[in-house]
Amino acid sequence: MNVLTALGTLPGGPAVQALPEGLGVLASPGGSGAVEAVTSGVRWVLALISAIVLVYSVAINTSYLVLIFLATWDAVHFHRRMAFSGQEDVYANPLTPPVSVIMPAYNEEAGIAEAVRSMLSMRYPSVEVIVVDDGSKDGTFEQLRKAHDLVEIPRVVPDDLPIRGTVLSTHVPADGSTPLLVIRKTNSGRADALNVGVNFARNPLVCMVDADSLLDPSALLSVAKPFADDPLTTVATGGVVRIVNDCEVVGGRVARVRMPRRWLVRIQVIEYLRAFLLGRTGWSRIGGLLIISGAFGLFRRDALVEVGGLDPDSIGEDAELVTRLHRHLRDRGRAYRIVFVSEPVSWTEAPSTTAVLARQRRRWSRGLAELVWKHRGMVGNPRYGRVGLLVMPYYVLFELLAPVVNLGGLVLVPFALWTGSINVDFALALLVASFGYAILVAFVALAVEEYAFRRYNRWRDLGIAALASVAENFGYRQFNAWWGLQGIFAAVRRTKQVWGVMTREGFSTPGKSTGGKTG
Amino acid sequence: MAIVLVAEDDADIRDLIIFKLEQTGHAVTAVGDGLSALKAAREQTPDIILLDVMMPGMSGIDVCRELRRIPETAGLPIILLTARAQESDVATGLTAGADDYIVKPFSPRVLADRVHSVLTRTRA
Amino acid sequence: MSTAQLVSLTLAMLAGAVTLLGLVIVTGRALHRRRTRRDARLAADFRPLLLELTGGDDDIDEPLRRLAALDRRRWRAVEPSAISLLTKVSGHAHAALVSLFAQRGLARAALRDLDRFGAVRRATAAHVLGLMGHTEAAPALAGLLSDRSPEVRAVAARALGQIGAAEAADPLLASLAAGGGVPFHLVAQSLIRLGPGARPALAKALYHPEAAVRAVAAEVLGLTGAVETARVLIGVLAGDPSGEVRVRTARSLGRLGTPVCLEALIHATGPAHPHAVRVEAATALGDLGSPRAVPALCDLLGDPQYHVAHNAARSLARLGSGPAMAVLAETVAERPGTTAAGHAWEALAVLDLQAGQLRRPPTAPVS
Repeated sequence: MNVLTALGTLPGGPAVQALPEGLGVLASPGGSGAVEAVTSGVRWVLALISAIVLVYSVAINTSYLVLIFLATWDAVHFHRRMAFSGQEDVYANPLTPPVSVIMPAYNEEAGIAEAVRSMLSMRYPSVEVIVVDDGSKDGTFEQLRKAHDLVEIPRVVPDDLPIRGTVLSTHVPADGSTPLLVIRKTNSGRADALNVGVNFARNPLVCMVDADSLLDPSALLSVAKPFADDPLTTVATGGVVRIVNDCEVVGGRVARVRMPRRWLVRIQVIEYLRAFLLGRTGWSRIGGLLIISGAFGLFRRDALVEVGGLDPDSIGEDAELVTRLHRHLRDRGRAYRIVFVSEPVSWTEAPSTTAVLARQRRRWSRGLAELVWKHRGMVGNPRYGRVGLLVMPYYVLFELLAPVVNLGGLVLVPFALWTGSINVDFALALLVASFGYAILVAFVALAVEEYAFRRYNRWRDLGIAALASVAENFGYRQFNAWWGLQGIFAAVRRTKQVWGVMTREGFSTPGKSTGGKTG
Repeated sequence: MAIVLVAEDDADIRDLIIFKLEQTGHAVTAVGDGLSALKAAREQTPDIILLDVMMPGMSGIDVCRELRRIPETAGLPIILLTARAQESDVATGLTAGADDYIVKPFSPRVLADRVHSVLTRTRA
Repeated sequence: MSTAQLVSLTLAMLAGAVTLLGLVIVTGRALHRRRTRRDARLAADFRPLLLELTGGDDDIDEPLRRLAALDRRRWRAVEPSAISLLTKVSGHAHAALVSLFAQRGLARAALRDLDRFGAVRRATAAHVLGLMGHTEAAPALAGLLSDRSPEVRAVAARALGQIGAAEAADPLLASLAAGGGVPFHLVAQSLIRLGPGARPALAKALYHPEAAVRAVAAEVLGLTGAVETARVLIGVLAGDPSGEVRVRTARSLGRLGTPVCLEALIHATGPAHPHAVRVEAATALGDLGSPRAVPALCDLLGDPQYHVAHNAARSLARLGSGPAMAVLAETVAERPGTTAAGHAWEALAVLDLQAGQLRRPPTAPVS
């Protein structure tokens, strides 16, 4: 009965109860003496770890299931609303707030001209596009100059947000009416480039997009809608990011959605679906959205200025910004809303080789670790409401520590089995809890996708998605955990370094900090 | 009777315009996005073009500017279809070289009249 | 039960659940495809009739009769495209569709549906009634502004605007007070559509205790050119406790553009006001379009707040008259190296671009 309860319900007592039954070996009579005591101690620890892994697996998968459930409510809601949602209203409404789109670009000569053109023809009543060329070493600027016939117009550099790079020149199209501004500056990293863009932005809403992501034509209308609905309290919205690899792209738009060709990317499609689309929708439903993807987020400009913009020292600057917004607004007791919009979407190229994927995952995990460390005062703090009591602890427990438990389990459980600390049945229970349950969760996510969004139209894609849901658990997940662990280590090392630097900085001239490129 | 090119991404509106203009005796070709509109305008030499302002890929305003730039289409009469009656949008459209504009939601009858009057005005 | 049995039982249950989900996905998709194909075919069959009805001149009796006589199954396939067409046409075409809906008893059915249990039913009904401009539905729709479903509230707010009965102004304004239950922009758009009849209610709403209500009233009065309320708005700009409301009021005063607005806006650019209000007032002075704003805007060029100075320069450029240009040129020439000159230079350069030629900087650009 015990394992079943552990599987079916939330963690807590069952694990402890599960111990004695699964661990018959422990109870076996042994001799006396120091060696015996140590051996039995080690066995007991191994058994305990195994039990923890079991409970953890059940809990993490259950949490996914709960988030998907929350998201489904929202998704179904969304779909039913489609017939009378009136996106046209937002478009034709004179009160729809103008948006400044900020696109940082570092060595993007291949796609920048197309990206800007597509951005300028977004379906939105009033939009200004600001490209921040972050000291590119390739022809990024040249491509833009050719495509949009840019001329230099010197501008006073605004100082709402402190910036590290130096603005070299500002350019606009020669026709004098296309709402495009190109800023060239010395290289100082993505976050700082975005801050420069925010400084120059003229409109009350700023949208941060990556130069290499493609947006659905009405994506801006959808993410801006929460601001139009509730202009006095909405401070930020984020759009969903999907994977564009191998989709048919025509004229800067995704024309037909396809499953990618490589299994590595296919698995990421499933992962994005569960974690980004449904996970974030779920969090947003209960007011706990912590991460807005850098590839597509919309913010109130004044709120950004108030919290000091993006942190150039942060690896995961997008998540850090949203966390800081939560913190700042909660500290001042203001009513606010941060909303996730599940459709339509921005499309981004996912890593298709293990080397790039590894780098990305290390960065994510390191960013999260640093974020949690920086805002550790929020974790479990009732002052921050759901964000402090639920979301932050969740991220620590189930996002940050997941690689540790995953890999720990992978190494120690077989060892525990070999030493006889746990029996075969218990090991099987573990397998079911961590693999079987995960596959179940992936299928639930697939079912929600099928009923709510229907982005993948071919039967073949459905079969691939099902296989990828299974394949994710064998190899991909373990490597992911490994990279995650490396990211955490990197964060720990860097935190130490920063302390060192800070101590030294105390003696040098305060004020100006020297910028370096991060990430 | 004239050859009319319609560029509009909304199928309902496109079909309705085709129906109405064919009923009034014009020959109509239709496309669904800005780039195809440019291509069709150069290849089919229509007498007049109706451009939706908001189209995927390339907006009607951009198409309008581009058409004015190319010598063989520089004199082509252009009517813009826009969902917003805001002054700034209309002004942008007219500066980009459009001859007239129609605000959506639109009356098919008024649209046919406008096409007629723009054609007579520019042919005169 | 032993652990082994439990494990295999759980495994079996998991496998069962996964298989079941797979089946649900596959059948769901198959059914969905079949339904869409069938509806598309049926809708395509009757599309020419719909086009004849909406695009026709005086010969619409035949398509109207045939569409009105469709059986329920066919009508269900045609209805969505008929409703979507209704949102896209005006004039005769709109009237023709409305008479088709009337003949099919859609208005009556929708009125009945307004108090159905399902939120989708209520929202769809309100949507259709709004599109048809069905005046009798207004009181019932006003009631739906406090519906328990957010969609229904939103659709009701929009429908009231489409119907356009001025009495709807009060309930629409009140709906914003309830705590953001009705989308702000939809209420605003509907209030705009109600026209001049709504002005008394809007003017009164400028003193409402809730900031959102005052904000929407201020904004709509400006957008609809209610010049007679300019004095009241000036009072709001001077004394409203909410920054958001004052920002919107400044914008509206710029749009109204009467001479009395000028003084108030110039005053609002003063250092005593919050940053956001000053920034908006500097822009509004450009909207207003009076050359009498030039001296005040000229002073703002040197403002330490970037966006105040920047918008002042833009406003001068938009005024575009002799004195405004002269002030910009003078600032560039006489205060080289200052940020004021930088802003002025940029404004002049933008004007030059619009005129088709770009001047070269006389001095080194300010950074």
